[in-house]
Amino acid sequence: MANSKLYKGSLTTIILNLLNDTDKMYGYEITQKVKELTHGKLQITEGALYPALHKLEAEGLLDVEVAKVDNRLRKYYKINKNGTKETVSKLKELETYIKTMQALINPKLSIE
Amino acid sequence: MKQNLSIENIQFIDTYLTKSGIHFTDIKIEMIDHVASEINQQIEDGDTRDFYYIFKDYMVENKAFLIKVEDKFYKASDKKILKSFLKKSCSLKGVLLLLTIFFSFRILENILDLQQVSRIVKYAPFAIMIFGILLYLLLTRIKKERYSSLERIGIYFFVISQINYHFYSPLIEIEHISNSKLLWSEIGSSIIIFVLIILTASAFELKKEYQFNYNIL
Repeated sequence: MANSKLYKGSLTTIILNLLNDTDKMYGYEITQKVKELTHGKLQITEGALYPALHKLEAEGLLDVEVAKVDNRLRKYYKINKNGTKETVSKLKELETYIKTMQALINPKLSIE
Repeated sequence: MKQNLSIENIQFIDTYLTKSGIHFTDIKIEMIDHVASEINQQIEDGDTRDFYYIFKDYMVENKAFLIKVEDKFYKASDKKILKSFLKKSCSLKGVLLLLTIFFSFRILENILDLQQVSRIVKYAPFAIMIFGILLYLLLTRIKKERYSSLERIGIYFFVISQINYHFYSPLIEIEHISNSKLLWSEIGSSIIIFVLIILTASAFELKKEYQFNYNIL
């Protein structure tokens, strides 16, 4: 990831959440979608994205499908039942983290 | 307008990545697609330069990140292998296999004398290991392609072979063996044979998965 170490811990949550909203995605598509959603502020490098995808696949959270596209093979990732469950729990974790950080950094804005 | 890269362009990327040290087909396929998609995007965005110039510039900037991907495959592969191993070991079939191996040794005690049984207990893992390794070598040759997890499982065969050699070296002569010593020897030998069979079965499963996913060209 190009811009910050802070995003590193949330990479799997970002990937799972993106795949949860779509049918299937391939690596390059994920990097472009993240770039688009964050207006270029967050750029995932190949060295961070693919090991994370392989890890999620090995953990049984993603299913894969390989298809021939434009003279080459393309590996698509799809979220499965376990992945959907994990996404819900990861998003909750992230939400709690953001609230905690907000309470620490800006207590006036914190709701709880 | 969308402009696809030619087969020659894709082959060029493939050769370059192979020469850069990305050897595993399952990893290289994704890297080729990533690089090709980026070049396609640049052409779509109006870059009128020849493919080779766009490729060269992309590689100057990103080669280090691409090479990193293969270096990091070990963790994911280990997880995949361990998951398959545990699933097979803890299944009913797995438990029955382990018990069958162990009780086969026990039954042999009623047919043969202790010295003969201890020889079988000692040499059986060695024979299974040779068979397992030969089978593994045949399995890893899918159209001369190399696959990350399938190759990684070889490390586990090596570790088991070293453990086996340490405890049941064929070079050490068997002296007089007692009943209790034979029992422990049978337990150890059963576990080693069991692990070798489960590893071979896991390698078969991985091969099937790779063939299903990647042999579609």
